[in-house]
Amino acid sequence: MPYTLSEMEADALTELVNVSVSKAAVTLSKMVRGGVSLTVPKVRIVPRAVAAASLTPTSEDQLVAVGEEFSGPFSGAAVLVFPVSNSLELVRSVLPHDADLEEIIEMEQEALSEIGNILINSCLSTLANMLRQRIKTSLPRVIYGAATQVLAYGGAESDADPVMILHVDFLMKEKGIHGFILIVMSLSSLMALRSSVAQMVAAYTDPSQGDAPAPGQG
Amino acid sequence: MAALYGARVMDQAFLVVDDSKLARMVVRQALRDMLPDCAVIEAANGAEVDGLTMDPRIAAAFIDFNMPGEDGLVLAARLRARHPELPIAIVSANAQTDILERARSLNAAFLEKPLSRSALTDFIAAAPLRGIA
Repeated sequence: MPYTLSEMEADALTELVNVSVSKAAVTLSKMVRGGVSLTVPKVRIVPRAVAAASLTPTSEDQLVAVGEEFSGPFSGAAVLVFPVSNSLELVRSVLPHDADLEEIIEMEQEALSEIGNILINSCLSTLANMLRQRIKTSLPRVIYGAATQVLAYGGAESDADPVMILHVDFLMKEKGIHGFILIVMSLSSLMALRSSVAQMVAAYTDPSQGDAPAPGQG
Repeated sequence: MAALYGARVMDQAFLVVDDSKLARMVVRQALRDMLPDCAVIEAANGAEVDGLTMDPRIAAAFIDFNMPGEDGLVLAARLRARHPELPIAIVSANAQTDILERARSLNAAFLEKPLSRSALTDFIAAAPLRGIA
């Protein structure tokens, strides 16, 4: 069954992404000088169309995404997504001084790229290190609007093609900013990822200390 | 009641709470490498801990922060109220200031994920491993 994850694989991926995104959240909280709370990651393998539907904003609010593609033994994209209406407040939060609106608007693209770049590199470098793999990242891109554009990153050619998505919601309470971090991976990466995860799990699985006594050991 | 792995009567026991089985394996293996005869009691969340008959040999608790439902600090506060002297470590990659402060206010250590052996050794060395009995 190429399109399902075993319980242990899903557990390991969730934990790896949890650690990676938590590290990135520490970086983000320093940049915005405020707390960033996170949900536990959810991992799913779904057709691209289903993933796109879940990305469609619930209100009329448009989304903005800052993302980078990554390549290596596994490839895909990591994106930070939030409502366009939060964008200026996020930029204001990271500027070192009290900037006026004109300046914030002028800085918006560059600041969002830099936030995305720092955050996503923090996240992906932790993930790569834990899996003992090297991942190359592209330059950040800021995308307004369509969710399908974000998901085109995942390498799926058509809406029916499955992609693997890892989803974490974040909230900056003091700033009133919310959104989510998505890591989208092509299924062609899944085999490589599986073997890395399996090696990692094996390193911590002591056969003599398993959940059940091994046969013959009484 | 969670399973005890290879426990001997006089040995120390450690409580490891994390929703991830992999994360529990990492802590269990690191503890075993350091203290080969220790018992490791695992729970996936705070509710499971509440359902445990607390083993009197429990010498320290390792608690993940980001878990579904209540977070690890809420559980740590409850354990702290019941066991004022128990060494508690919050194990998380999320070393944000407010989380570090909440841990400190509960007199809990903070061990960063990915967990390093040296951080674990330092915590164990500094903890008065008496058991809760």
